[in-house]
Amino acid sequence: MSFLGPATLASALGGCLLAEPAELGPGIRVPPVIDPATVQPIPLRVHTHERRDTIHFAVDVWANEADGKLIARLYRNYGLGDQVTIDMKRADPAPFGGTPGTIDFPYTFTEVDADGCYQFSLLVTHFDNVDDDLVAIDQADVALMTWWINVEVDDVPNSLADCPQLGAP
Amino acid sequence: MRRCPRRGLPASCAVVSRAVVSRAVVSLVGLWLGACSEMADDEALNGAEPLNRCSVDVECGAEGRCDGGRCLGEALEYDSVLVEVTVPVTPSAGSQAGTRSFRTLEDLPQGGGRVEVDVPWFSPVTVQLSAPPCVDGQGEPVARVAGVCPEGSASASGREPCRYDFGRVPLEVTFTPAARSVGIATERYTVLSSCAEGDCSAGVVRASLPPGTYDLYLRPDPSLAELDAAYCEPVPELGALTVPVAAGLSLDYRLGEPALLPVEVHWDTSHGSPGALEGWRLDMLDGISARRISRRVTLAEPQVDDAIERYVVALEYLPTAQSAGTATELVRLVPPDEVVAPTVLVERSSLGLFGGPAVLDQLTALPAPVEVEGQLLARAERSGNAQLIPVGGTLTLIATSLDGFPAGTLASYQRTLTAAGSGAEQGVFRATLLPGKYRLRALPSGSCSELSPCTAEDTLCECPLGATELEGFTVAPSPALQAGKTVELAWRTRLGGRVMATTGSLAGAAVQATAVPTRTTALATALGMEPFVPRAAAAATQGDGTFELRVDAGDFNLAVRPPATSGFAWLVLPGVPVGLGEASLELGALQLPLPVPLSGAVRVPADPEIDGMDYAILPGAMLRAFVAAAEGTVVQVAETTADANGEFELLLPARLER
Repeated sequence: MSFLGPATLASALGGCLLAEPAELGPGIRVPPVIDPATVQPIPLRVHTHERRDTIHFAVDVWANEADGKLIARLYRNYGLGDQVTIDMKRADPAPFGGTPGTIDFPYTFTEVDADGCYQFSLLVTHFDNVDDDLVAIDQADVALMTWWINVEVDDVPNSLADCPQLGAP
Repeated sequence: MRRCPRRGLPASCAVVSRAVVSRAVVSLVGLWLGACSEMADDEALNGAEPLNRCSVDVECGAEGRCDGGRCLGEALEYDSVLVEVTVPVTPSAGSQAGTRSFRTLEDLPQGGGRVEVDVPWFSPVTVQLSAPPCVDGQGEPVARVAGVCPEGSASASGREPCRYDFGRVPLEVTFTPAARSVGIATERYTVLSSCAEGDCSAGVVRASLPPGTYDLYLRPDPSLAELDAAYCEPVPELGALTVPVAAGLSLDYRLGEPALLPVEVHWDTSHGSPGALEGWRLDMLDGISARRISRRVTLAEPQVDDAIERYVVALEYLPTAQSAGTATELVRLVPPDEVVAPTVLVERSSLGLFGGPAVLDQLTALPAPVEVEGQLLARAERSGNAQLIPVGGTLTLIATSLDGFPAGTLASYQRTLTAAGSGAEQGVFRATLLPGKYRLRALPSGSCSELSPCTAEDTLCECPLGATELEGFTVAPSPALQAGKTVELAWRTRLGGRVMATTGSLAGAAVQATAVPTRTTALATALGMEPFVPRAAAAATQGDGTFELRVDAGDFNLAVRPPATSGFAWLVLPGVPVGLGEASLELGALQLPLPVPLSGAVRVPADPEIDGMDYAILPGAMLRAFVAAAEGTVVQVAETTADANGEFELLLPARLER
C-alpha cells in the first residue's frame, strides 16, 4: 500500500508531480541492441529455401536516442571473400524500455543465389559509425544477427560442407 | 491464482498475475497524473509517428466509424484469413519456442471482434515403412521374409531379386506444408528413416509436425554412394498426409511396387560420333511437382543396328496421380556434367503409343559448342554524354531454341554465369554454349558505385540497375570463339505514390514491394520457362506521405505498413505490374483502408485435469495474416505481436486495392 501515499498527496494538492530531470553523466555510446526473442526468421536453425521464395529478415532494435540515427545493412556471406551487400536502410532509434523499432528487409531468392549454403547477416550500427562506403568503423558499436540459409536448387541435398566458414572482417 | 501447467507449457500464468497487478498500479497512477494528461496528448500529436485518431464518425468517411477514438472500418471485404503464428524463442514459450504454424480463421466477424488463436501442439507422427509384397505363381500377394521374396515368389514387377534393408538403404522423407503451394515460404521437415525396432526389413520415420496437410516425398538417402545390387533401391514416391490437431498419428506406409517402363534411346551415328550417349542418365519426373519419381538409369553398352545405337533400359517408376485421365509424367534424358548438351524432356504419354518399348529418338544431333565472351554494361551519363559502363552481375541464359534439334523437341539448356564486378575484366562474362537462341536474365551485383556513388546522405543507397530479361540472344554455330557480345542492363523503374490516412499524409510507413508468387508447371520448371521473379524492394514514406521505390520489371504485391503502434491498417495492392524499361510508374494518391480490429489471445491447449485450465496463454507470438489473392496464392495484409498477456490485435484492412 505504500505506493498509494504519493498519489493521495498529489490528489490533495490538485497538481501534477514532475520528476526531477535525470542527471546526465558524460555521454557513453551504447551499441544498438537486437531483441533475440523476436528475430525473424528464427536464427536457431538452418532454413532451406528455393529460388522464388520471398522471406523477411526482420529484427527489433533498441538504441539510445542521444546516439543518433541508425543504419542497417543486410549482407550475404558477411566477412567472406564473396561478401555481397543486399540492401541497407536508415532507421530512427527506439529508446530502451519502450517499443523497439523494427528493421525488416524483404528478400527474394533469385538466380544470384546459386545452389548452396549462405550466411545472411544484418548489421545495425549508428550512422556516425560508418565510413564513406557505409561500412562500420567500430565493430564494438554494431549489433549483428546472422542466419544460415540453404538454397536448394537441384535435387542433390547440400550439406554443411557447402556452407561458408564463419568469419568476420 | 492459476498454477502453472504441465511441463512444456508456456510459463504464462505467472505473467498474467503480474500483469493484473501492473494494470492496477497504472490505473491509480493515471488518476494521480490526471492533471497532466492533456500535455501528454499534445506531445504525442507533435511527435513524428502518425496515429489513427478521431472524435466523431464524420472524420472516418462514409465507410467508417469513430470507435474508441480510432477510425474503424464497418466491414471486411473478405471473410477468412490464414494466420501464421511464430512463437518467440523465450523460456516462457516452453516447448513451443521457435515453432511456426498456420491456422485459418473463417467466418470472421465483419465489423471486427474477438477470435482466439489456438496454437496447436506439434503432433508426434510415426510412419512405419514396409516393403511391397511379392507375388506367388498365381499372382497372389506373399509377404516378404527378412526383406526378401520367399521361395516360389517374386516381385510383382518382375524386377531382379533384391533385399529391402532400411539400415543399408534408409529413406529420406520430406514433409512439405500445403501453405507453400499458396506462396508462403514455409520450411520443410526432412527426416531419415531408421530400422524398425531392430528389424531392418521395415523402416520407421518419427517426426513432430504442426497439424495440417503435407505433401510427402520419399526417396533413398541421397547421400548414399553406389548401392550394392543385392539391396533394393526404393523408387522415389509422392504422397500426401494430414496431421490431425492434438493427436498423435501413426500410420503404415507400404512402399509401392515400381512399374517398369522399357525404353529404347536411339542415337544415329551417321549424325554424330559413336557412343555419344554413353553416361547419359534417364529418369522420370512427376508432371506436377517436378519431383523425380523413378530410379536413375545410366546409358551404357548400346546395341548397334546399322548406324543406330540402341540403349535398352527398363525404367523403374511409380505412376503418379492422373490429370483428366492422362498421366503427366515426363521422361528426362540428362547429359553428364562435363558434356555441353541439353537435357531432353518427353511426355511419357507420347512414348510407346503402339506397344513395345517407349522409343526416345528425339535427340538426333549434338551440335558443337562454341565459346562466347561478352560484357555486361549499363548506360549512364558522363559529362553530358551517354556512355556504356561495365558492371558486375549474374547472367542466366535459357535456350529457347537450339540449332540442330527438330522442332517440337523439348530441350532444356541453361547456364548461369558471373560477370566480374571489378578489375580489368569488369563486366566480362565467358561461357561455353550450344548454338541457338536464348532468353537472357541479368542481375547486377553490388551497389554499382561506379554508376551512383553511395554516400551517407543518400536515401536510396542501392544499385540503380534492374534485373533485365532479354529475348533473342543468339549464338551462331560458328566461329568457335565468339567475342564482343554486350548485354545492357536496364535501370530500375521508379515506383512512386503518396499515402494518405484519415488524418492526412502518412509519414514513416514502410513500403515493401515483393514478387507476386506464381504457380508454375513441372514442364516449365524443367525447361527454365518459369516467369521471371523480380527482387523485393523497400522504402519508407516521407513527411508528406510520398514514397519512391526502385524496382525490377515484374509483378509485385505492394504493401504500405504503417508503424505497429499507429492504429492504422496496411494498404495492400496485389499484382502491380511494372514493365521492362518503364522509367517511372506513379501510383498517385493511395488511401489507407480503414482497419477492422480482430483481437483475441494466442493460446495453447492445456489439459484441464492435469493443468487445471483449458488453455495457457502464449506471450510474444508473432501473427501474420494472409488473404487470398490471384491464382490460388495469398498476400500478407497484417502483422502483430501478442503482448505479455498473449493478447493481440490484428488490424485487418477493410479491403484490398484491386
